[in-house]
Amino acid sequence: MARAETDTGLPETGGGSGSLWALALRRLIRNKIALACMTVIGVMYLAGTLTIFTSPTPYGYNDQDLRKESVKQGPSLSHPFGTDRLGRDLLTRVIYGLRTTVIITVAGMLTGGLFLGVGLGLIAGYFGRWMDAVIMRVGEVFLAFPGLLLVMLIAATVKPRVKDWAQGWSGGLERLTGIDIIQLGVVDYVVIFGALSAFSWVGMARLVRGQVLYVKGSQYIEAAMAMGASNRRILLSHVLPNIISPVIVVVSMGMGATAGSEIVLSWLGIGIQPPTPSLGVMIFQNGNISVLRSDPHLILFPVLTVTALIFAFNLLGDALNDAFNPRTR
Amino acid sequence: MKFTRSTHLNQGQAIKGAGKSIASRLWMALLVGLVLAAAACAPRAGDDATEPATTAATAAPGQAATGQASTPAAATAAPAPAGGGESRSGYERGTLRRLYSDPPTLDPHLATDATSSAIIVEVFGGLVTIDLDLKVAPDVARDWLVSDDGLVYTFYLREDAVFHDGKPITAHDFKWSLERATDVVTEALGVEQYLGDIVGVDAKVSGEAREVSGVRAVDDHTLEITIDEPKSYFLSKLTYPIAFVLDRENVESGNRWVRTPNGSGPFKLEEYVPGERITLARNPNYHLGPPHLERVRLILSGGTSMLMYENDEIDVTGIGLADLDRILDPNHSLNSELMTSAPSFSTTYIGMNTTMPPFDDVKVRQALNYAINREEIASLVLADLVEPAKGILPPGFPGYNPDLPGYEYNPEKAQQLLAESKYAGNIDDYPIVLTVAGGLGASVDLDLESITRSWSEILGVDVQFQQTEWATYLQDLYKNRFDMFQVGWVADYPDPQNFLDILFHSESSNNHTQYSNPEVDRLLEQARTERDQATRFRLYQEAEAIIVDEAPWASLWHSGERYTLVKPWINDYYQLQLIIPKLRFVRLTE
Repeated sequence: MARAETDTGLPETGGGSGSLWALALRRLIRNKIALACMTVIGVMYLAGTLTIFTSPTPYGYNDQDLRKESVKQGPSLSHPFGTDRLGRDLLTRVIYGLRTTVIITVAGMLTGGLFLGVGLGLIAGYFGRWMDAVIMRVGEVFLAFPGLLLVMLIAATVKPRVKDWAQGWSGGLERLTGIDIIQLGVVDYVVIFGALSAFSWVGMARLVRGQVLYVKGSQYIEAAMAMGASNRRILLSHVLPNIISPVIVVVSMGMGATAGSEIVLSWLGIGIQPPTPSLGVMIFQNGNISVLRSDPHLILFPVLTVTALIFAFNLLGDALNDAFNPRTR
Repeated sequence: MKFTRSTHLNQGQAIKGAGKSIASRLWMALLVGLVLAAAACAPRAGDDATEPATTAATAAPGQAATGQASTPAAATAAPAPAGGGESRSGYERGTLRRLYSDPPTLDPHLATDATSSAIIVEVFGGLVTIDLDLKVAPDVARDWLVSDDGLVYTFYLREDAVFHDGKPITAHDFKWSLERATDVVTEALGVEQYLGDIVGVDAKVSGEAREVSGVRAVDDHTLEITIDEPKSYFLSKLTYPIAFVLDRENVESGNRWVRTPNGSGPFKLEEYVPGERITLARNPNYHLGPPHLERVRLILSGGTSMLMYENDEIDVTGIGLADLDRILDPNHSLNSELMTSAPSFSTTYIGMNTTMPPFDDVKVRQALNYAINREEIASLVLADLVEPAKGILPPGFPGYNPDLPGYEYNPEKAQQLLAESKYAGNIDDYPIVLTVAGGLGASVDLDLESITRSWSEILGVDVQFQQTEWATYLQDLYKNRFDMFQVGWVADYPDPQNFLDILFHSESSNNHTQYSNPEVDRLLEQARTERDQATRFRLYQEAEAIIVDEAPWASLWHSGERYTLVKPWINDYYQLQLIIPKLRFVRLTE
């Protein structure tokens, strides 16, 4: 556990597992790029999360304004990102598009990457034998299929049924809480990140399994076993903290990829349905050169937002890697 | 048979589909989308097969504002067809060049889409065709006689009509072709609709008979066709490719005969390299007068139509929404090359299943109709690329009624109608799903987003979108599984029967709103056999007025390629409302 600390030559700040985190955090903060990335991600996630409660701008995401002087307007003071062909404020739509990205990346990562991936990887690596065989073979089968195509299949076949089913009880929920989950597009989110996570756990599980196999032979695990610690205790208190740093790096990189998947799904018409904004739909609706010539703001702002977010995640992943594993620098 | 997706609005879409696996396209799309603003190769591979006439004839490539281009630079470098003698400035001798997309089939009996049909009518032909005035005109049949009872059609074939290989076309070829089209093995779609009026076709389709008893070759150059009722629109149905003549030897030469078809049209198919190019060559023996052009080159390898046009790589292009403002400016250099045409014979509409709540109340349907601001959306959102629809039949179509009032935008009236309906106050209990055809690179059209928004604001009716891939969409449509759907209908032949009878007769298999009105049925049936054209059209107009009033549809637009750019050296290029052979008229100034 003390691998990282002993090599840094930095003053010890205290014993126990906290120091690893404290040190990593300090290294991260000293890295200017990492700081910038965290700021970008933080601002975007904050804005996206805000929309669940209220619109962060004076406009609603579907406030149309069909007047000649208000459609397709370039950036101005009242509309910093301009307006689209229906006179809707583009900044508002980009922010609501971020909401989709936030929900899908967080939920997809939590269920697929962390819960399924880390859980199954720990089990496969630690218990070995038939559990390992079953989990890893199933994972290989999943990997053998082109993931996006399967996600398409599931979204196309399962989603309508889930939606029908949700329609059945959403009325009651709406009367109780005043929230119309169908209108919010929650069903779309659930099916899509469900489908995404069903296929995104394999990589994580492999990584975790390899790490577990590596630390399993360590003396501290042997010691814990000798003292009669339960499997659960060994896994959660001894194995997991020692393999977590590569997991964090992969999660950070994976967030970017998940955000990208949502865009591709929207492009295929099986993602978020309008009028709920989605960055993917915005990009592909205006994704052509003529638009770039005539109304560049329609395409530039959504694309720049997505690009910035995905770049930030990737650079942050690198920075995290440096922070957790200074030797590899 | 020709339902269409309304693709006229998706300016972001490209038509290029072939030659790339879906996965590679996805990745390309993703990378491009993420890294470059230029973005979005969004090939509409999925709907090439179903591209409506509105986009197929000239529009498809025109709207293809992007091909596989990922950056402006890459776009200009779109692969030029090999052996094309391309020059960056100017034309290619005797050749008309344009961007096109891979046709799903070139077999006239199997084609149901406009992309295929537009090539097929240039390569093949039948007894009759449609001329530039959109009237039925002689093709291989030089003349015909209709018996007094209107049941027997006798066609006298031209003696000089030959297939591309020089073999004369005889009445026996027509009999064989019609029997091939109606054979179960051919699996042609729409046989009953287009040829079902011929006596004996039912028996042939069900496999009970080996011949079609109503078709008889009297001698080599006389063909007799007997139909079941005196339907005056039968002749126009024969202009549809399913009734075209094929060379038996050619077809029986193997499965790949469509790559080397021996047709009877003004052009020969010289070369077809899927995903790269189609080259049509002049047929010097064409019986209606050979084409002026030496060649027509259809580029299938993608690219951005507008940029290719500006670089003189192609001679004709449609104009997308994004380019329109620029080119409509009288000072723009391309403005002088602009050609404006009437919208094609098609109607885009939102259909409502009249048997499902809440659409089983006519007042709900009328309320929804009154709450659509067609004029405003057409001019502001769609830049006047479409014409707002008042009724069912498109302007200029036979039987079109210019005095039909239609539905004006009237929010108060809409609210009042909804309040009078039996769903007043509890409309929320009936979730409405509007299904549109989606698929690769498609998205819900902006006009629909605007319409549903005003329904929500004016009537409090919330509508969910659902996108289904086109093939699935059509299947579900035919099973009447949608409560609300958006689709378009493109005319197959110029007769009101093609819209009204097929889409609204209660027993028609294409009546997907399940609209049923005995009075309308009676008028439609009476019109079928009415011999006097004026009376017939009056009957159709009466039926149309009732249908529009009872509003199983919210008719939206008559769309089509309104604006086309044509190079100054191209003369007599026509942009017509129906798919007809027109390239033989094109002349080049050299």
